[in-house]
Amino acid sequence: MALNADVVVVGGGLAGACAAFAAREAGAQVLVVARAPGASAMSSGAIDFAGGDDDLPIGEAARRLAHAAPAHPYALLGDALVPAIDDALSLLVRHLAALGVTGARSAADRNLWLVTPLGRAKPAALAQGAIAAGDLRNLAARQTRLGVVALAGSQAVEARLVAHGLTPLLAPLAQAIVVAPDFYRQRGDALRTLPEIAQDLDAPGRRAALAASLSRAAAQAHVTHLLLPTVGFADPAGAHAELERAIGVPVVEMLGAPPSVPGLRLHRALAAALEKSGVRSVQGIAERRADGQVQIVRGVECEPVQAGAVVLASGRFLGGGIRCEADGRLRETVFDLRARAAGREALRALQNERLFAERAAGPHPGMAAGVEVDRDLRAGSVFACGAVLGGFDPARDEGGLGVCAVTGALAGRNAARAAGRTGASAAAGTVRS
Amino acid sequence: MESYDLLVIGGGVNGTGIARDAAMRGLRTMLVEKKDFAAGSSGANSGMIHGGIRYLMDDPQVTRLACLDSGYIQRIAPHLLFRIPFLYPVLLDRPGEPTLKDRAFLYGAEVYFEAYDRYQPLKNGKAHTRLTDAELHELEPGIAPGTLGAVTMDEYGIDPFRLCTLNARSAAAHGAAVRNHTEVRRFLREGAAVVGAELREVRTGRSEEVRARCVFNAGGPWAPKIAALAGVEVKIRPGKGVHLTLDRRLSNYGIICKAVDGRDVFVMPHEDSSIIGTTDDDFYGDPDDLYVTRDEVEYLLQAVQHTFPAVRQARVLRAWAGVRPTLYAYGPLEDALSRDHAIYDHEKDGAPGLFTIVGGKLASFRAMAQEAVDAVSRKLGNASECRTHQVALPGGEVAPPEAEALSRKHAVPAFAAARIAYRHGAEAERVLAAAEEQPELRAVACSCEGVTFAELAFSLREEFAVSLADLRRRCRLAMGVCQGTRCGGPAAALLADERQLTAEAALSDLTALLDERWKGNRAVFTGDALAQAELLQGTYFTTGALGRPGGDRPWR
Repeated sequence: MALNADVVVVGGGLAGACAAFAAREAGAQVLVVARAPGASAMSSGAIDFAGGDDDLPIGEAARRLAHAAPAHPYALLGDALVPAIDDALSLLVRHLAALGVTGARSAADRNLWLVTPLGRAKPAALAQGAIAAGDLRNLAARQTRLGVVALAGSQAVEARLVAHGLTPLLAPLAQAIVVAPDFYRQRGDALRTLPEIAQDLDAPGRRAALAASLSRAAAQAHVTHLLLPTVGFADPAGAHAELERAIGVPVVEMLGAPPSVPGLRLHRALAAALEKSGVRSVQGIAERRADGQVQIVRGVECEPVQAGAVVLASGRFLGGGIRCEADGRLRETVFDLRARAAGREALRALQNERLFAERAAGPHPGMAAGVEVDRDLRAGSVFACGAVLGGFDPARDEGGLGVCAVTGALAGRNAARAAGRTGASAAAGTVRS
Repeated sequence: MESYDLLVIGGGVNGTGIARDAAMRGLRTMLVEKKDFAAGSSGANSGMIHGGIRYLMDDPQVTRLACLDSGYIQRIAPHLLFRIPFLYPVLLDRPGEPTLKDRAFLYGAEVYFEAYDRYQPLKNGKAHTRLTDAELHELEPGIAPGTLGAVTMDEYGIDPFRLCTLNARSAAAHGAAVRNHTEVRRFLREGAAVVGAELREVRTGRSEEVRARCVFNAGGPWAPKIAALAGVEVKIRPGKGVHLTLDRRLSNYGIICKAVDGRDVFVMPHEDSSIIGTTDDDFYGDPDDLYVTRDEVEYLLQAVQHTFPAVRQARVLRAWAGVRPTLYAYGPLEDALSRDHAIYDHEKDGAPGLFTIVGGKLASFRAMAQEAVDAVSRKLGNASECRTHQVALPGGEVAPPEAEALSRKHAVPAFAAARIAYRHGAEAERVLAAAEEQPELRAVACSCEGVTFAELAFSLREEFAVSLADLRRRCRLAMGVCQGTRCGGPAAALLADERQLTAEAALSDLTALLDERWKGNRAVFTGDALAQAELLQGTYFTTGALGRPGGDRPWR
């Protein structure tokens, strides 16, 4: 049985989901094929469009990125960049309401400054509710006494680093201290990892018990806010509200490092939102057959796909969309599109030190490998979006998932149009050359 | 000004071994190392206490000494050694069709291994056996088919970082002053005599002068530079050796493979990984500035692939290089250079009081240290006897506790308890005692290598570790498959706690650890290694904002 759709999206991360949302909104029948959760499932949970040191409005910061890096996908969009960011922001807030995603309402707004697991501030436009509530700009503006909660094990050790790191960021008005509740005090509790703690807090009665303990600790330490490493897995908005109600103090949440609880929540929420939008999702590996048609490999079965248009959102090295062979040659894994990094088709690290800097902090043009597209995000016969696109490096740009959302939404709309579906909202997001 | 009988320069296996021996003989001893114990060649070798079968033909005394000392090292650090049986397969040009020449080669190999058998009892090794092709593939199905069979031999692996750290700790326990991260700026002279040195603590910039009746230069590949400070020329023929670390135990046995140029290359299991080694090329650069080239990586992989094709399915975690301080000789090919050692008394070079040791093997470090301290003792008129082969290193005194019991008693995961028992032997209980005071220290900081916070705290408190890179060497932090992606933040947090650092100082130390890992990773950036790199970059820079200056408030 052939799988049919106007638009077939290859990729299980945020870019693919945004493409699917946009194509669906344009009236297309959409099928998402994902091999595995996308790299977004390992993300911090923050959706970052552009950062930089000057606290500029997001659209302005994005224009600077585009200006500094001509190969950046933002640079392709030209004047359509700011409307595309507006569009992506609204798309994300609409579809991720269950996570309470909030923050910038338009490209004219500035970034939130979110608490990282290393105790630093990360700029991002949007974040899940409890995380967005931890905007440091906001906390630092008043006499906040932020209690960084040391729950258990490794996380309890890390809480001290976070509190120390936040202290200069919050000064002079606000401060951060460590709060150690009398919860998780069994011998084995030290071995709980953060995802395990999140899961445990979802079990009946556990969050209430933590809240009771935190309420005592908060009163004792006279804190005005509590920073938790996680509020739980399944229903973060509900969990957040429950904790605040029970403790009587505003609760904020930290970004997640892999295996990141907010990242996994984002992955689940995307899957639920796709289903709610009427997008069909299948697990499988997309391939191009010799005759050019796309097929999906599921276990031992191969199913051909009838697609009006295809969106490639397969990610970079981590997502599996781009691979560097043993001889250094770069390869796009699904359609064998031309992939490059810094204009080169092969990565030969030490014979070209320009591709990977000596220090981990970069810059590493080699990490920005990907396929090249035109202004409509076309690469050959498909549309491409997200990290499979070259030219951007989230680790340096402070724009990662946001680029995925912007290009995803555009690719989705353009694909719907190419497939002959041009709904009312399609025109707004389409880039014309 | 502090005054010592002996100042030892260099925290490699020779320097720490000499310091231990001297301190045990009652000499007032100071050990200085500009970086950290085993931060140079002593930490960049195959991690083998091997008998040196390769030297049997030309340097049988090297083989004998290595085997003898290997036996002693087993006695003083039984917990640190692990047996690695090696297979020497004889591959055929036409698989399954041996020629007369192939048969003669196997016969010759067996005769050679039989000669080596004579030394095996010295190190509790088993005599060689000969395997048929079928027997060989029963042991290692991944070896290319159709061989003529194989010969086996017994060797031992060791954690060379811990070996050096334990020597330094033992020296300190016997009264030596032990200073890592301390470099020698210049020698103090009285007339021609070398009578001490000006030292500088690298991390703080603090200088001090110490007097010493004798100074031992155990700088390995840096030995010529150190000797030059006294105006003395020490000639070595430095050889660069590259190793690769794989993400898995590819084989259960060490396997000797033939490289494209006919050299022997091996792959062997080491902890949770495999090590492939090694190249041997004349090195003309600065040992502080070592890089691995793509050709070196490919040469080693090709060599193993020839015998063990599945090596291409493994992920190469990193490539690393060290410099052998080989004795100088003009003429021989690198592989044919003697692995013997030499001890120079520079009195004849116009610098009385100064000694240098170069050459030698990891496996015979203890015997070399004994010889070195004998030379110093003669000069100083010290009559005490060497006891380094009789007295155990810390943790080697009695058998290590059983891992499962350790795990139950201290509520740490069994896989971490097993690693603590290996790395710390009889000291395992001491390592975990801290977790009884601070329950969160039970947590696993590095799940790749089973490192608990308790173990990190122990190294920071008891083992002269001051940085995350020091912890890497002592506890294998960030040495596993994720190369520090997960453990860096938690370990930096513990470092800040234990050493009362600011968050900024701890994160800057974390950056230094990541830089060191990155250097070895980027030499092998293909395939899945790039996925791991992307995750690491995402963890620290995209998510952690480590690249931002700390304390920076751009929203103002």
